[in-house]
Amino acid sequence: MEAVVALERDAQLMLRVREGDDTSFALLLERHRGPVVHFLYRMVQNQAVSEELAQEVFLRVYRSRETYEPTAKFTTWLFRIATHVALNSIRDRKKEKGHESLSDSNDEMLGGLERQVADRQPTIEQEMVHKVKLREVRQAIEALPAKQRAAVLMHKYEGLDYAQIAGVLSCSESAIKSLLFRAYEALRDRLAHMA
Amino acid sequence: MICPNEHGPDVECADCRGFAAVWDRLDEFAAPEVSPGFDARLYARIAAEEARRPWWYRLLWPPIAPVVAIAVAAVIMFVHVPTRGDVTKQVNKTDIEQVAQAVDDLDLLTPIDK
Repeated sequence: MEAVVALERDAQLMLRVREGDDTSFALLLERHRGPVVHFLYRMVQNQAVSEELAQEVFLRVYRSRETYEPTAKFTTWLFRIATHVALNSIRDRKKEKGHESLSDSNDEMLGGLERQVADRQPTIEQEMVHKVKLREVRQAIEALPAKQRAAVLMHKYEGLDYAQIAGVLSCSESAIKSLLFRAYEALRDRLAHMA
Repeated sequence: MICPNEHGPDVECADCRGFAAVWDRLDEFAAPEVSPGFDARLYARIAAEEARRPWWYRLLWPPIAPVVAIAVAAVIMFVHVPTRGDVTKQVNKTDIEQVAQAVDDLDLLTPIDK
């Protein structure tokens, strides 16, 4: 119920943006900046690229304000744009570089990890184990086909339900359940040794 | 958690346990905080894009577009469509010119007859 109210509020805000209210756009940005950047970060696994793509997403939202109609939930519409931008980026980067190396993003990620765990003062051994596990999770997610990856990230981290993911990926709910099952199965097989 | 096996919510099958373990592993993949300058960069891009738009593009903004369309139509009608009075005036002017021309022609012809 709370989610429905929140979505309605988003649509109302977007309608106000259409009427020229820039404050409403700032509110939408405040509410969805984090989820969109985080989703894109996990899709492309590079912070600079994910923020660049998120800028493109919000720029497209702003450009579309004049023609916006609340036919779908705002979050579904937003993540449809984000997924489209992410899939295009992944396709273009594959074309440009072949398979993307994780070295840069790993360094960046590990730096972040060190900052995160600094307060808890883990032993060097614990830190190494954590880094290895994290790298394996990232590689397992990266190895998923792009559409499965997007579905898992929206389901696991962004809390979208099957209907919303189906709306984002233009599939039926049953197709999304099947897609997610195959994705989690692949992740389970790849991460089984970590149990 | 997703499970393909049809069972009640209180039952936990092998698939449930396997997927629950995956679910927990994925928690380790934390995303970093968004950079502090994100909003400023976005607003700069929006401003740059707005500045590149031609001045008349603002007139197409949906809330004012119908008003602009009506105003433009009114101006066109005012400038190009002649009123009934204008037509009458134009006809009268033509008639007078024709009569004057006919009188002049008669004047020219009169001396020849004499």
